[in-house]
Amino acid sequence: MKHSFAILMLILCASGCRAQTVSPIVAEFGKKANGAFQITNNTVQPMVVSLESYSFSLDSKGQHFRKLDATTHVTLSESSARLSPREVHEFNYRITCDVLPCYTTILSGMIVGKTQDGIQVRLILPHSVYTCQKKASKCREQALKEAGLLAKK
Amino acid sequence: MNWIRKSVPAIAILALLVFAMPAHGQTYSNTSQVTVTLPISESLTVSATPANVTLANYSYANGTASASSVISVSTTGNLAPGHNWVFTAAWFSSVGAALSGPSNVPSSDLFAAIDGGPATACSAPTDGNVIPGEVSGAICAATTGYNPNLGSISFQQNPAGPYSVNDTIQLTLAGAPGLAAGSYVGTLNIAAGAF
Repeated sequence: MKHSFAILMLILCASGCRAQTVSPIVAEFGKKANGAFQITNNTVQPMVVSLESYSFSLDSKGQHFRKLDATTHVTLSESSARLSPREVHEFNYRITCDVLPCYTTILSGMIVGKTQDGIQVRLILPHSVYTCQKKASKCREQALKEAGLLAKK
Repeated sequence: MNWIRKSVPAIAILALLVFAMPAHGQTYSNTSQVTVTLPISESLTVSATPANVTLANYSYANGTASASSVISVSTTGNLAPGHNWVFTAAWFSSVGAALSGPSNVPSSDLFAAIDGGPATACSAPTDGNVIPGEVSGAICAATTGYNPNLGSISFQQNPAGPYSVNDTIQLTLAGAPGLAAGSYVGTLNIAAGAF
């Protein structure tokens, strides 16, 4: 059943499947976050990607998103880009926070279907950035630990 | 003198043999090491087919339309250990105007059958705010599976390594009689995330 679904997806994707990939999903930094993530256009057609930034907090229920805090300053290399077929595009960012730690998500959205009459599909993938006062490598772990969300490894 | 001339080649060969003897004291350099690393970043992919759907055969009296073609959603990824969950969610951009045209069609009039389940209104609230921009009250959520109230079409706890989930969404319209003729357009947002 799984194989037939995969074959069906392959056939459909060859004609008009819309897919995007984000990598990495998570990044950790010390006081200043100078990072990058990649968006891949897996299709054989050009696609436009637009970026939005959000702040988030953590508690035992998970992530809670809100508009970007006034104390968080996000500079993106581009707020949107047109990706060629099969292109891997790198977006660079710099995040500085007046208050640490601060947690930010950069959302990449892509309208993948145009329609005059009907419902179009928009694909969305997030890239989360954890910025901390001290060690970058333990930033996410510390945030999850404080929220009681540390997953088993 | 003739014997000297004759013995020159023999002397030359002898000299070659002597100097070609192996050295008695070979030396070796220090061993240099080259560290090879292979960093493989985590990745997450979401795809949807087709990219747009149409609700045809609208009934003015009943406010219904034929079911759309099935949207196949595929979420794949390569995840490192340490994530609490991975999910895929679908929602309309507005509660009051999921479709807009001559008038607005609310998301509660649009129904989604997730993975072949019963069609339910795309009016679920967000519980955990799992994805930024998700519109509470306009979410098309699975009615079965892990914590459907979370507002996702698929969900897995503690994922690690390769991840692959396939879902289907089929949309219908109900409870929207008397819509004026015209074009009605909306956007179904499909997002995948790993936390």
